[in-house]
Amino acid sequence: MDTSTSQEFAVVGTRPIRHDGFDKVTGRALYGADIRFPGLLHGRVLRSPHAHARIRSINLASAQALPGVKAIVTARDLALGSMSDAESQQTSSGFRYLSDNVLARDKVLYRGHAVAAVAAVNPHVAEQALNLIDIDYEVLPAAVNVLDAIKEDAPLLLDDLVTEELGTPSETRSNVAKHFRFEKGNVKKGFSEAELVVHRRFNTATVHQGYIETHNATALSSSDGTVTIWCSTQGAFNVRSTTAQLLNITESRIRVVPMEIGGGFGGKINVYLEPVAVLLSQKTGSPVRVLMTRGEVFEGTGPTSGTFMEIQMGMDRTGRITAAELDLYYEAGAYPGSPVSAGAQCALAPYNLENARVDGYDVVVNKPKTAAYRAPGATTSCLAVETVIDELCDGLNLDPLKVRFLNGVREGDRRVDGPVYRKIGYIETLEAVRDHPHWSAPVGGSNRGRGLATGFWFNGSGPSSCYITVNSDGTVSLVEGSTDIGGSRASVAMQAAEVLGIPAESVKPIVADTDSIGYTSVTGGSSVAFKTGWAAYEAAQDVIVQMTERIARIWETEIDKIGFSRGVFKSATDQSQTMTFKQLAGMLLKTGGPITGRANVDPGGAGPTFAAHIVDVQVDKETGKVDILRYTAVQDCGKAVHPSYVEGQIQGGVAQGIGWALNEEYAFNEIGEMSNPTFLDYRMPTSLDLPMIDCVLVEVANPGHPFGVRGVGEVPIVPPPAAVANAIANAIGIRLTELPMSPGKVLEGIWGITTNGRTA
Amino acid sequence: MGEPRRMAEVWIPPMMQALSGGNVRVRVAGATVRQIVNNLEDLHPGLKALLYDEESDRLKPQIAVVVDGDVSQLGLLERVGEESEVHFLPAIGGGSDPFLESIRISTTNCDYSVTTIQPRILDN
Amino acid sequence: MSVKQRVQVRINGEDTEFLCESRQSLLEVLRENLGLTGTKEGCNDGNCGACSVVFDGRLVDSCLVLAVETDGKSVETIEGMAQPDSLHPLQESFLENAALQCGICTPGLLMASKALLEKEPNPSEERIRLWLAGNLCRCTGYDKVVRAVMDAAKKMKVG
Repeated sequence: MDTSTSQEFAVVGTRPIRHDGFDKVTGRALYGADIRFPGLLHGRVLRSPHAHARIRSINLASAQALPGVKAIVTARDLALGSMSDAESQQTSSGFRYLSDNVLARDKVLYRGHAVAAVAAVNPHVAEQALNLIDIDYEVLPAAVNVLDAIKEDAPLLLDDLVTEELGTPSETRSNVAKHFRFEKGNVKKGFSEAELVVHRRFNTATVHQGYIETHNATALSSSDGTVTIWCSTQGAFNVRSTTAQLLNITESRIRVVPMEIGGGFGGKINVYLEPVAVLLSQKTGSPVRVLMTRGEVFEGTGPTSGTFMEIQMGMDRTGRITAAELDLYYEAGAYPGSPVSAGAQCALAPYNLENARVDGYDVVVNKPKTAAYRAPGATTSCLAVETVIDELCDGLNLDPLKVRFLNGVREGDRRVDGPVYRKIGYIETLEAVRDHPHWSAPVGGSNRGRGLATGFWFNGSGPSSCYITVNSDGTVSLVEGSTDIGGSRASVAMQAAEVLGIPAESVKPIVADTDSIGYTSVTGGSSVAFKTGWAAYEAAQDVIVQMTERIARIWETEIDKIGFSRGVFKSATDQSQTMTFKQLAGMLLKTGGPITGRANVDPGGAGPTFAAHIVDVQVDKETGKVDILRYTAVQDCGKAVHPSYVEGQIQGGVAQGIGWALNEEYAFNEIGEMSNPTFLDYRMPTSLDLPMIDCVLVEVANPGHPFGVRGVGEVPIVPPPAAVANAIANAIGIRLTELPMSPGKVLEGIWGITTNGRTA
Repeated sequence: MGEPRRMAEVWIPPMMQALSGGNVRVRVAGATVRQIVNNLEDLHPGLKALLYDEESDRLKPQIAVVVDGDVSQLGLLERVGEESEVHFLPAIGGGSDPFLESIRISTTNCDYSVTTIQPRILDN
Repeated sequence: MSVKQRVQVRINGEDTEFLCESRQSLLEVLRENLGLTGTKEGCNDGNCGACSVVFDGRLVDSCLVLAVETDGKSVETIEGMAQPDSLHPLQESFLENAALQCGICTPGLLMASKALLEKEPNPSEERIRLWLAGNLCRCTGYDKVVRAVMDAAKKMKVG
């Protein structure tokens, strides 16, 4: 198949109105919290006020006595909670951690850790009941940040956690869940060849995905044992299997109906409320809707890792990077599983290096268990690498763009961690930067500066399913299972429309529940346009095959005598015999019955993506405020199926990256209490904080997809903090090494004093 | 006796090179990743245990395999050509649920011999 | 059971009556009592704007208004924005400009934009950004939202 971008497409690359748009602009679209049933009960979760404590006792009596309270559940209602010690020893630690995170059994590991849940006649009674639940805690000392947690005498969070040291489990009980290493060449030799070596330490604060919709789950457990769950999730099948495991229910008895979802960015993959809602429904016999408040979202759901990073890089006078060394300490939150290995693999991915070493540490701390956040792990390690490269360029008086060209990877080059790159677009994005008016425009004005940073993300794939039914009027219904967090159903529909030769508007995409569509992996990893696009492509091909068979029957000829192109069937033997897709669709019921095409895929060949961002800032040296004056994001998009939504993904990722760079942080005190769990003080960018964000879509087709699609959604969040840091350095000559670079930190940088005492 | 059969080239992750005698690259015969892993074990005992999980009969969830530049969705079942390059890397979750993967194996991190002292629950 | 109050209010041009507890916010009553779920809850403390409605002619966060305060007054929500046979130019402009991704903040942004254009039919980009700063959006970065408002302003001037 020809995947060059010179291919002419009829639908792919256009900008139709998205299919679910009408409902979303009229308020008709139903998100998880909009669901209503007769007899609906309302659930709320009680959470630990302490960052680290043992639960001695839970007294439910007063809460149960409150009029309007219908049921209360705790960990003992989960499968794990009712197991004996002998039985629980047979389970995997992953299972125990997951269960304990949903409802804690004997220990709470972060402020916000769920301990009990109440179902009541209305949310106010439920909240009152929470206040009446009396829990006796034995407060324990907390390890609040990564540098404290790795100390020898740090309080240990998990009784069964030993360090997996360089691939093998050690005997050491520790808060370090894993220590791994990548190595290539000889870094010592590399540093000896350098003209300049820069050594820096970085601290980055915990930040949250910040989706505007809070978590929700509604469950109805029927007396015959079947369970239906309605929720806003990035993966309905994941909800089904996880809930089945945690509650010991046969998976097929559970049907998960994904509602519209108000943002996820990785944070709505994890299962928090669904098992709780099911338990409450089981106990009451009523449908129960459990919602989180905004404060609970901050304190009870996974943010991404705060980090401590140490980096050393050397460059020779031509600008070649001779050696790079990184030590990445990522906070996993209460249970193991930070994205430190992704961070390690992405940091140096744009560069051809002979000598490199990256050590990564996955460290548990008394904070909420981290969850994926858009290119998990990559943004922070990119900050370290891209700002140090910038500093080396400064020190050697080299152009940062030329240095990227010199060291940049091309097809056939080897990634630092091993694999060879297939067709990639790093150099092409650099060329687009070089040729862009922003790059050569004068910066103009005092305390103004420009920064460049580049970034990388892998892009994932996974199993997906699709079926397409042909309607008599020539439209088709397309059923898929990828929950739509940003407009993907339009992209999937467009890919099918391209194959079928019909307009995008003639495809009706439906995101279906777990009983109605084949297994589909989570919406994440920038994979949907790729994997579900593949499924739609193949399902559409299946439709064409069946339609071809049908028209062969109608024309009384053989299949191989029929051609199909751009929505028209043609007879090879008789030029006058043609029929459009629409015409044939109208004849199906009378000529043998309806046609449905289907596909189940698990495609390899997802191509990675590079991005290069340019930002101009202005720094107010009296207040420390940093204004973003101009932003240009260049990205290799493979093939933009719907360019408006690709731009949208880029602009959204940039906005989050800017918030991460300048203002967002979890402000923890020394005993692990977050002092800013509101949108007032967890300061995300508003429309006033950002300029227009210009996007340049470079299209280097991915050979692994029929239309050349690459994932696009995640890489935009990778370069912004580094680009902004470089711009600030360019503006006022100060290198900041802590995120966020909030006004106070900028001033401290200007005044030359260290901050927070968080350097090692 | 003809030409020696060409064999795939397996790159040993740095952390496992102690077991491969310091070798970064090893020529291993095999038409699938499973065969590669088994043959690798014959050459360098101890490597299989780091890559493969017996109970689920799959690669360990934290291990991804890259064949000829593409992350394989098929794991052990992925075909390997005579000229192929095979890498074992940490699996990354760009928005995938690490917990779900960890549930699938029933191995524990260590001797889980700690007694859980459950709280007393007082209710009506 | 706490005492309920009777409230009479004109919602989207229709006279409506409901019973509610005095502790219920307008946001809660719209969604739970009246089934008007187009108005969304994002934070419940007046910081995100997802619950924006027009109350007595003023753009407000409905989570900060008690339902009982609306007695004898009027409220406009997203459900009243479109005509039976056509969308409001802002709604059309949002769709054409791809100014929404997940869509959860969209009703609030539309209510706020409509209130702005009714006050200032020809706002500059800066005025739009200032006015919409009370509506948080996490998906779009606001670029296409602002363009959509500017587009709609143009259309509404002509039409």
